[in-house]
Amino acid sequence: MDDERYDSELERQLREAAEGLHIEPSERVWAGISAQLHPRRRKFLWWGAAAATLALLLALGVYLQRRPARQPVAGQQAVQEHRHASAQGGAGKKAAPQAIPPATPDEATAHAAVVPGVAVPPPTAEVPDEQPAVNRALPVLSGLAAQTSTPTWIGDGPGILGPEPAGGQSPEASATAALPAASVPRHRKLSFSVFFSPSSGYRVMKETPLTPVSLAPAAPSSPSNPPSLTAAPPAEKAGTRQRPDFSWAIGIRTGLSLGSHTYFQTGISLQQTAYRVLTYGTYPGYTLSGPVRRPNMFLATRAIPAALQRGVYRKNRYLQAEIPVMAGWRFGDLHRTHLSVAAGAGISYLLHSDPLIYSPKSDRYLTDKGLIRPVNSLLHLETALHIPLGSRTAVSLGPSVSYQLLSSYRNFDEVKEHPYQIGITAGIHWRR
Amino acid sequence: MQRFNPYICPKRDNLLGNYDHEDDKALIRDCLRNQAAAQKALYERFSSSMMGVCYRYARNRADAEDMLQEGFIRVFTHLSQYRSEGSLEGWIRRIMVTTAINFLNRNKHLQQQMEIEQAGAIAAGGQPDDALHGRELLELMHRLPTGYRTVLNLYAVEGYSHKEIGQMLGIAESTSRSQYARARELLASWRKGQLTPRQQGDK
Repeated sequence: MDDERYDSELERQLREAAEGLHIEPSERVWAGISAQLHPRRRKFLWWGAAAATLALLLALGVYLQRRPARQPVAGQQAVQEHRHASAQGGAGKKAAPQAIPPATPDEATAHAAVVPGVAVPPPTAEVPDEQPAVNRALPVLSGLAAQTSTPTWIGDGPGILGPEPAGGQSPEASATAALPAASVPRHRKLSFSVFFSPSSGYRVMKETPLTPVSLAPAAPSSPSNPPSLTAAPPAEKAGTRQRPDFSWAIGIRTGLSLGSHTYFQTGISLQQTAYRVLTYGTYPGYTLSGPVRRPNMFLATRAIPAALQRGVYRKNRYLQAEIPVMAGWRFGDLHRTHLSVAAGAGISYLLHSDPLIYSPKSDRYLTDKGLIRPVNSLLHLETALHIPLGSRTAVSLGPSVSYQLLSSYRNFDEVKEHPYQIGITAGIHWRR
Repeated sequence: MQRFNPYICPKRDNLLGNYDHEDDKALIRDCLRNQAAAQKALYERFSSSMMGVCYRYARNRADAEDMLQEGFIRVFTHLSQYRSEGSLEGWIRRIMVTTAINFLNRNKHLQQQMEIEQAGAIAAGGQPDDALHGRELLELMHRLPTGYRTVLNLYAVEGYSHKEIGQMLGIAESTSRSQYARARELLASWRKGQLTPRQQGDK
């Protein structure tokens, strides 16, 4: 009788306790629900942003490729010749050609704007004398050729402004040699480079205080492994500490000069970001149970109480493929040792990451529930000292910084993680 | 000693959005229209209590959150089947219980039965040093093997009959009875063992 009353009392207490049991789920639960209920919206946000960025980069590339290089206007060149001839007097007048009337109203406007006060004959459709049009243009083109006769490196990705005319060439020959170069943006030459960048760094973290959790046994416990409901890190220790680890990046880039000092580069790189994290406690949502798969694995079952107390170092590595787009500025002559500064961004795709969480569903450690963001964006800032080895090759060495724009974790508001790396970038460059 | 229990949280009153407790019909209507704000409001209203339901069946908090997520997705995708005959909370609770049972079956947790002798060793482990209250009783129940705990939950807390439990878990009715008896016996022995020193001290 007493046992029956005792049992009913037990069940009554259980029911009452169960009714009053309210547990706050972590934010990731609603994030997961929302992602499944509204998948298209979320996909659109990410893939739309990625597609828009890619389209923007492509449009920028096409625009820069088609945009003609700055060249002296033919009218301006003619006026310069005219002024030069005027300054030299009669002898010069013989050698120097007369100013050529511009062929179009636009040229006339340019002409007048460049040399105020100089009388510009009105544009006429007819040629004033019998000289062929090509011959009339020759002095202009010869001036252009003379201006570009010295090979000039423009941009860091480098090319040469046309071949140097052979000595003793006639103005006509020089003009002919320079003609194709004048109609094509000649300094838009490609360069290729291979780089290797060892680095090391930490991460910018924003996290809620780690939660000391009570630990439920994953499997029937044994006397040697009793369950502990009070195993929790000391309150003053809860949190993470970090240690740097070796990171690296390797890749190839192709560059295109935009002007005398500016250039942009793009390519593909493979990079591994690594650091070690000393963790006291555990993040909400982490599964703490499971077999020990690695000696140093994060919070394996039997190591939980001790690990929570002393902390556990675990290594986080993210292997990413990235397409960077860099814009740069060169200080100094490309023929000689010079300095360059470049900044840019890239879209990266996660190829592999260290397993972080034990998943009882698959009975293995993995990045559960799409926790790690697959597509991310990296910002780069590089400074390099370029040392030419020959006319077309150079080596570079300099410091570089990269910062991950989006948190490594998605749908996981408790922890924001933005790794950054500081390192040295060494490169070998070849200019076509 | 006051022990920290992260699973118990204060109820939230300010997260219900524009829907009050009596306005279930409007909330359901908007959820059926796939409005994210209404779905969030429904989730906020019942998430903590349903997390408690899931946690009673789960092995740990992460499993409970998986169950909760799966259960709420079922709630939202099957909300049109709710007939307003019973309370909305009761309907959601039944979905959560079914989801939890399916989760345990899918992960074969229910098949991992445990001998009583082995379970007895659990009692020798962490024993609360204070008087047992409902919360501690739940913690003790949580230490039971999954099969025992599931049957105890379904019978003692949810109120299902052994026949219904047998159908739900795919076991014989007699098995459900024996599992429940063993669970009750184990729980009672743990409880008696912990109460004895206190009772002796009182004398």
